Amino acid sequence: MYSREIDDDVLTLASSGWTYDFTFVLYDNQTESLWYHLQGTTGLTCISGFYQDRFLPEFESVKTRWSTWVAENPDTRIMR
Amino acid sequence: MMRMRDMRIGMPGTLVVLLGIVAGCTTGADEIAGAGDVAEEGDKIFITDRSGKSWEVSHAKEAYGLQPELFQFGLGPDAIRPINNARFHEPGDAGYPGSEETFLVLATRISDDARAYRITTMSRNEVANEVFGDNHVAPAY
Repeated sequence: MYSREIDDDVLTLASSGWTYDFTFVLYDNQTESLWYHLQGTTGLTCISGFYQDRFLPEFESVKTRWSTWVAENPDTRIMR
Repeated sequence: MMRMRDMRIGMPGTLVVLLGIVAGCTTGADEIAGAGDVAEEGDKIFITDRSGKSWEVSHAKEAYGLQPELFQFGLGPDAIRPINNARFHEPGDAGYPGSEETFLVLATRISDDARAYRITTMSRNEVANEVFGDNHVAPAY
């Protein structure tokens, strides 16, 4: 769960179609910069392109069972 | 709340989806996850995907040690579509899952807005472009 805000811009992220080390490489539609979750980091790093070396921080999220999550978060909306 | 630090967690399931996509257009097992074509032009390095699109990865190698020949699949940027207009079930909706259901979700609460995304859906689309209050966020799996 990553921020897609950088400077005053909002990026639209998508799969580049590439993986590296079994992890997807994303890109942004605006500049076609490549974004990758480097091992040992907690966000996306721009590894190539206009935003190279810039960072998109991660929001806290969890992978869990629906029953576990909704018990503690009954106001949750779920994507259709 | 637990913290999912690394989307690598989700990769095995997603790779199955990727393999399925590629298997539809190739017959060689070695070819399925293969690297793209790597080319050097002066001091620049490019990898070319299955759609014919070239991506410069010189900086990825120089700054982060990523090896061009280890980029895999190269399906092209249109092969896996992101979710850009997600619609949601609200609590109380007819389609809202029962609290006893145990399917896996990627879940978060941002700006006091709690949302969940089925892992099965995220495995197919990989990333969504979302807005939580004033925050533009990309759930990814």
